[in-house]
Amino acid sequence: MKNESNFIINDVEEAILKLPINYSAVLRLKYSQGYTNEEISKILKISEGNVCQRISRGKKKLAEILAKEGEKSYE
Amino acid sequence: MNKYIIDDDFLYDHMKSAENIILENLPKEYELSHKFSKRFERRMNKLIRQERRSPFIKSFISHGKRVAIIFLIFISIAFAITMSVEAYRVRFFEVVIEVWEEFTLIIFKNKENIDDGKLIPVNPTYIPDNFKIIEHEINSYEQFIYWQNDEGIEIMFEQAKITANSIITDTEGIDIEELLIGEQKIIYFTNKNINQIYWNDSNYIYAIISEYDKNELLKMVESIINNKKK
Repeated sequence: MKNESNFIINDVEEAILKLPINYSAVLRLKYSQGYTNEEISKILKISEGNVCQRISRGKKKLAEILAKEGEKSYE
Repeated sequence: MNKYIIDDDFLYDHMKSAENIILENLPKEYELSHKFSKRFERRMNKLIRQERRSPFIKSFISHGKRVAIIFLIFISIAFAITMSVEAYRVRFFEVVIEVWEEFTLIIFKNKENIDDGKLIPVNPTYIPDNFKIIEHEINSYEQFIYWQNDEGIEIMFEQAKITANSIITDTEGIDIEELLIGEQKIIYFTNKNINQIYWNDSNYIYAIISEYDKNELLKMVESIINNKKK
């Protein structure tokens, strides 16, 4: 699949782009920018527990989106 | 069945490229035809000016503000003591709200131990549609409840006993509204798309914070105030 800038996007990237902003923001700060949970909690002004929760829920949501996309491609 | 294992390594492998796509899709500067409001331009110019200040001036301004706050708190305490002598045997505490250019300071002061018992929770009876409790913490002094809807929007409610306490919140360039719900005065403002509502009764300070619709949050506040009366 291609996006507006003619990037070729794979399934995983497409699924990441579909994540709700409150999950994707935390996941991008951690896994792309390399911030620690403590630093993310200060940046977003949320508790460290909340950061962990969002990471965990973000992963779950990402798995759900990928599973759905997988089902579609088999149909 | 999912063919991927979503763990840390997986996310480290893919998140960077996904973020690059997001960044590449942002419109180029020459494509932006948006005209910013004069208020926004003023605030941006102010921010740029602040950043250009020398470290000495920054430190001078910061310390100057602290001195001014301490002076104001001192004046407020002196005033509170005078008031408490005149209002003998009347339980007295004071909420002082100091609105500064870059933040708001809310100070709670009481001259007596107003309540030694455990916190008596007062919860909202109205919750907006599709919100479910995801976290509830309670102890002798405070309780926090978090709700979340299907879109991942969260609402946070806090009820805490009033002690000698203060809340500092970033309200730079924000207009603070004082609203009345029945006879209860509440403080409302929005900052960075987050709605914040604070109010208090004789024993507790309450706060509701969320990016969700203001009117829905006000309905929650009203249900808490009415629940407290029962």
